[in-house]
Amino acid sequence: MRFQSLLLAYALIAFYSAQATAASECNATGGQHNAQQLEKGPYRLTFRTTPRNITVGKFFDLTISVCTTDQSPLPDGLKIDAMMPMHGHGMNYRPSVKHSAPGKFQATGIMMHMAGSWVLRFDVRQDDKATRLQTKITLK
Amino acid sequence: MQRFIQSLLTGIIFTSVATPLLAANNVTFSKSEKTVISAHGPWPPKMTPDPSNRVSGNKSAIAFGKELFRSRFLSASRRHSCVTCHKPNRAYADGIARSTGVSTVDRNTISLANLRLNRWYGWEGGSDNLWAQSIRPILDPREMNATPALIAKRLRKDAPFSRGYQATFKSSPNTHDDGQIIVNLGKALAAYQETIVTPKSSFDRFRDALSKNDKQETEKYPLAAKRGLKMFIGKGKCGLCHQGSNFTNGEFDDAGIRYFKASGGIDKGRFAGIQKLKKSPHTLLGRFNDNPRKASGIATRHVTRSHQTWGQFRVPSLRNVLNTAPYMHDGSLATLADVVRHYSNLNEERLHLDGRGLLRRLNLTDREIADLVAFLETL
Repeated sequence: MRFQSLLLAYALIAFYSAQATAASECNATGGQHNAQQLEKGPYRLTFRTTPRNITVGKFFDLTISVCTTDQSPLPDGLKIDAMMPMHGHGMNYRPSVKHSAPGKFQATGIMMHMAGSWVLRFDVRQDDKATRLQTKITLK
Repeated sequence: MQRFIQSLLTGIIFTSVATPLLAANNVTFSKSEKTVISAHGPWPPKMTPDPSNRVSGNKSAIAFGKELFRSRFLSASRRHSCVTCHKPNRAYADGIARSTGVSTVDRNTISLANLRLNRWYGWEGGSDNLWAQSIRPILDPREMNATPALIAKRLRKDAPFSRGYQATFKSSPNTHDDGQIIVNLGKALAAYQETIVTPKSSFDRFRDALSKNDKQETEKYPLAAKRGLKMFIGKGKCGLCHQGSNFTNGEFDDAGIRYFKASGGIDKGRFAGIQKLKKSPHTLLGRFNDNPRKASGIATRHVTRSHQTWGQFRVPSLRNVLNTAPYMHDGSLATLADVVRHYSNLNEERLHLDGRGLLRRLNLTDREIADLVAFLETL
């Protein structure tokens, strides 16, 4: 019984420290170079691109942090996509997203093959519920 | 007073007639148009060796690849060579709608120039590298109809080609298995084809002069070509797909050309190409890629077959396009004017638009069609 209580206490500490770390890092990344921040519902999502500038027809990576502005749990999944609303098409490549740590994601294989207005979408998933955060990107 | 009124009327008439004439004889480009035009250069770009091919840029490989390219050694019957369809005096295409090796194929021969800039090869993008694409026609029953075993056996017995192989790969073909030999021959062929680069064109000289604000040089560029260029980057929206210095985004789209093959059946285009790519042992993700990090395989790793890829074909480079007729994946359009007319009168119902709004009928006038052709001829 004592051992079980100890285990529970450890689990609670680990959970809240992960939340706290993710939240503080989420706020901190806003100050990084080329980082952009999006907010919707309980989620605050910060992302940055590698390389720094997106070029038409060149693959780029995304480093993403998600934190919550209330006591909601951190997301357990993230899907990334991009569309050109004016043309009604998306990307020709499906990005792969790695969940590297609580609230941390690394995406590769993203490529926008045409100049013009794109919408970059982040579908943040918690259990079976998805919340979409998105931003406009114009490529010349 | 009467003389004054006469002068005034003469002035008004002259201005109303002459202004459009002057405008037609003077095409100017805005700052943003100049930026777009500048992005179609410089030419030629720096071509770096292919990291997936250890003999890319190697002099022995280029010489050996050139010999192989011109020889009938690679066809089962010894009656066909790469030159059968890729004729050097026809911009490394063949000038006919659909080529014939052992039998007639379903698609038009693509010109081989500037291949180092490609991400995908062939009309359907079934290969992600040039050495794999070079093997494909050797093994295609409709083209050269050979097998790796036949070519390897032939090579081991042929002294001159065996020497060329050894000089390039530093090993005798007797020490390599059949699969390794066919890949190495593909790599030598690729090394040679990478050297085929189109020279600076009339458009490139105009683009460079425009960037430097060199009016004397820009005036040498034909007026009709200037008007055509303005339409290419503006009303025509051609530059959306035909972008960058090689005038292609390297991807695929549905251009509203028929899907039915002359031989019967439907040409699935990119949809089938991705399927072939995923099954091929000769991709940048496989063991034959000489780059140990396989970093160049990122496109292959992430490319996805979707219903949208059905009936899509390569967006071809427009460089040297005047010399690569006939056009489109099936060679169904004989001239550049036919191609421009096709987009001008596009049958939107034939397209798999699926809500897409990229291609729309342009409804160009005869003069606009002629101008676009005049521009394309300068590439």
